Amino acid sequence: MNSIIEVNDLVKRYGDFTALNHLNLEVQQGEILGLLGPNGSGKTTAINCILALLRYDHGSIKVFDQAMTPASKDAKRRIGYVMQSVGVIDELNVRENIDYFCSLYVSDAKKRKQMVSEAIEFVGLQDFQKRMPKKLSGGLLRRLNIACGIAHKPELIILDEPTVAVDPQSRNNILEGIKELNRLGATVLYTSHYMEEVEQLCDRITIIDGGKKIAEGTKSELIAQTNSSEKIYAEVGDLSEAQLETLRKLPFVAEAVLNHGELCVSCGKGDNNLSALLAAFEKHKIDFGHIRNQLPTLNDLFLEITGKELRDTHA
Amino acid sequence: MRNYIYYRFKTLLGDKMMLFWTLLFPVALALFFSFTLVKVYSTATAFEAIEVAVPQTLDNQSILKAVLPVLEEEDLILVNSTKDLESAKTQLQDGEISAIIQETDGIVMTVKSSTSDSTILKMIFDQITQKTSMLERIFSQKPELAATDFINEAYTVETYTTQIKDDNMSFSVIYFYSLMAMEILYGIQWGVKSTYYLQAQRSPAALRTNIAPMSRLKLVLIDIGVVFVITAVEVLLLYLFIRYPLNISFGNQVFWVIAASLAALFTAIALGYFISVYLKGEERHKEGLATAITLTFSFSCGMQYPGLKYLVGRYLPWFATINPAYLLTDSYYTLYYGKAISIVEKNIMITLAIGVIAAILAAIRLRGDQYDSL
Repeated sequence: MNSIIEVNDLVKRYGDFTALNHLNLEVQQGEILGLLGPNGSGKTTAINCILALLRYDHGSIKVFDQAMTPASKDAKRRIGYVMQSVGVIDELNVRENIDYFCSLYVSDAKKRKQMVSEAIEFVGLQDFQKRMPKKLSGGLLRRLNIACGIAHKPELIILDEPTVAVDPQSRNNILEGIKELNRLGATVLYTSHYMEEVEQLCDRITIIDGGKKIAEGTKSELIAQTNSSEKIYAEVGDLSEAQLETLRKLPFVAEAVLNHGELCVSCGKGDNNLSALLAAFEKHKIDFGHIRNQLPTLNDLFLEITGKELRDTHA
Repeated sequence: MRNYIYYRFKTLLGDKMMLFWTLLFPVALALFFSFTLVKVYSTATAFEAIEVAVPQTLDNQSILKAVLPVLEEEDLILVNSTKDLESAKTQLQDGEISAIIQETDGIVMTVKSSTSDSTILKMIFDQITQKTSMLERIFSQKPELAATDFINEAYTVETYTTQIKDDNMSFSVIYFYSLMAMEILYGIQWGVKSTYYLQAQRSPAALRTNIAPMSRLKLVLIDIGVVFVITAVEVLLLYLFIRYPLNISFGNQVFWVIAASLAALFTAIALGYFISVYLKGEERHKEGLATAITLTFSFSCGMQYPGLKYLVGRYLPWFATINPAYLLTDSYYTLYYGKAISIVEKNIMITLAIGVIAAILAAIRLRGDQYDSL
C-alpha cells in the first residue's frame, strides 16, 4: 500500500522546548489514521510541519511521495485541511466562504460552483447558505469549517480535532461524514485527544506524547500491548470463602476479590470471559444481580507507558 | 483569480466599523468643521472691523506701530482711543471691545472669552509674530534685504488681510487639509486589516489561505491593490465632498494634488503593512498603534490646532520630514498658494521614499513562506 504521508525523524523546537522529538509517522493510502495524544503532545505542530507552514529543525516530510515544501503546489492542491479553530471569514456568508476557499484551489467557475453545492449538501447546510457565520450555532459553524476544507475534493484530508466543543449530535454527524469521505476514496489523518473517537473512527492509531510516538497499530493490536485485562464486576451479595476460592481456580481468572458485595474478577488474556464466568456462577449455584465487564482501553496502554491518564472523556 | 479579488473587496468592504471610521467619520468631521467655522467665514466675507484697545504708546520700532494701520486700513480691526489699561479692561469686561493688544517682548492679546473675533485676532497676531521672527532671522544673515521691497512681499499681514478678504477659506483650509491627510493616513488601518487575512499566525482564515497552492507574493500584491483602490475611492469621495459642497479650494493644479495624495496613500498603506508584520501581539495592539500614529500625524499637521503645524515645522523639523501627513498638507498649501512645484515634488519624493522603505521591510517579512511558530 502506498504511503501518502511519510514523516521521518522530525524535530521541532521552540527555544528550549522540544515540541516534536524525532517523530515518525506514516499514513497509508485509503486509511483513516488517528493521531492520538493529550493536549500539548505535538499533534497540531506535526500537522503544521506536514502542511509546510512551520519550519522544523530536523527530519524529512514526504507527501504524495514528494518532499513537502511551501512550493509543493501539486501536493497542496490534493490536501484538504480542517483545523481545530473555525477558519472562516465573518464578512462572507456560508456559500461565499466555501466558494472563497475553494477558489484558492479551483479556478474553473462552473466546476467550482458544482463542488461548492456538493460540499454544502455533504455537511447539510443547504438551509443556511445565505447565513453569516456569526449567526450560525457552534455545530453549524463546525460543519462550515469542514465544508471549507473539503470542497475542492482533496485526496488527503487532515482533520485537527474537529469535534472540540461540539455537541454529541453534531459530533456524530461529523464522524459519520469523515467515514463517508473515506468511503469515497479520501485518505484521512485525524487528530484527537478523545480516545473514543479515535477508537470508533480510525483504521490505525498512532499515539504520541511529548512530541514522540509511543505506540502504533490497529486498536486491537494496541490493546494487545497492554498488561491490563478484562475486568468483570458482579453483584453477588454474600459469597463464602469456598465459593470465592472456587472462582479463583477457574482457568481464565487471574484474580477475584469481593468488596462490599461486589465481586471483581480480573481475567487473563482471552475471549468469552463473561460467558465463562456466567457458566461458572450457574454451575456453582452463585446468585448474582447486576453484572458488567470492562475491556482494556487505549487509556490503559497510555497509562502504562507514560504513567499518566490520556485525558478526560467527552463531557 | 477574479473570484478571489471579488471576495477580497467584499471581505474588506464588509467591515462596517472600518467603513464608518474611514469614510463616514471624516465626512461628518468635514461637516462639523464647516458648521463651526461658518461664522468665521461669514465674518470674513462681510467683515466688520473688530474693535480693540491698544493702551500704550507705540514707538517707531514696534511691530504694532507698523501693522495696526494696515489692519485698520483693511477694515479688519478698529483701534479705539483708550490709552489707559484699566479703562481698556473695563471696556473689555463690558464687551465694548473684543481684545486688548499690547506689545512688550512680543505681541500680547487679552480677551474676555474665546469668540470668533478672538480666534481671528489670535490667528492674525500669531502669523505676524511668526513672520516677524522669520524676517529678523533673515535680516540678521542678509541685512541688504532690509532695504528692498522684500518686506512688503514677505510681510504676512498684507498677504493675510488680502487673503482673508479675497478668500474666506484661507485660514480654515488648514482644518480640511489635515482632515484629508487623516483620511489618507487611514490607509495604515486598511494595511493592518489586510494582513489579518494574509499571515497564518494572525487568524485561522489566514492559515487556511496559507496552505492553499497560491503564491504568497501574488496574494499580497492583490491585497495591496484592493486596499489601494478602496482607500483611493474613499479619499476621492472626501475630496469631492470638501471641494464642492463645502467649497474648499485646493488650488488649480489638480494633477499635483492627486500625485501628492496618491504618494501619501501608498506610504500610509505600506506603513500599515509594516506595523502589522513587525509588531507582535494581539490585533487590538496593532490597531491601537495604527490609530495612534494616524492621529498623531494628523494632529501635528494642524488638525486640532492650526498653529501646531508651524511649531512642529520649526521645532521638530525631523518629525515633519517623516510625517506623510505634514508633507501632504505642506504640498496642499503650496499648491493652494500657487508656490513652486519643486516643493511639492520634494515632498512627494520624501513621502515615496518612506513608503518604499516601509514596503520593502514589510515584503521581506511577508514573503517568508514558512513560520517559526504559529
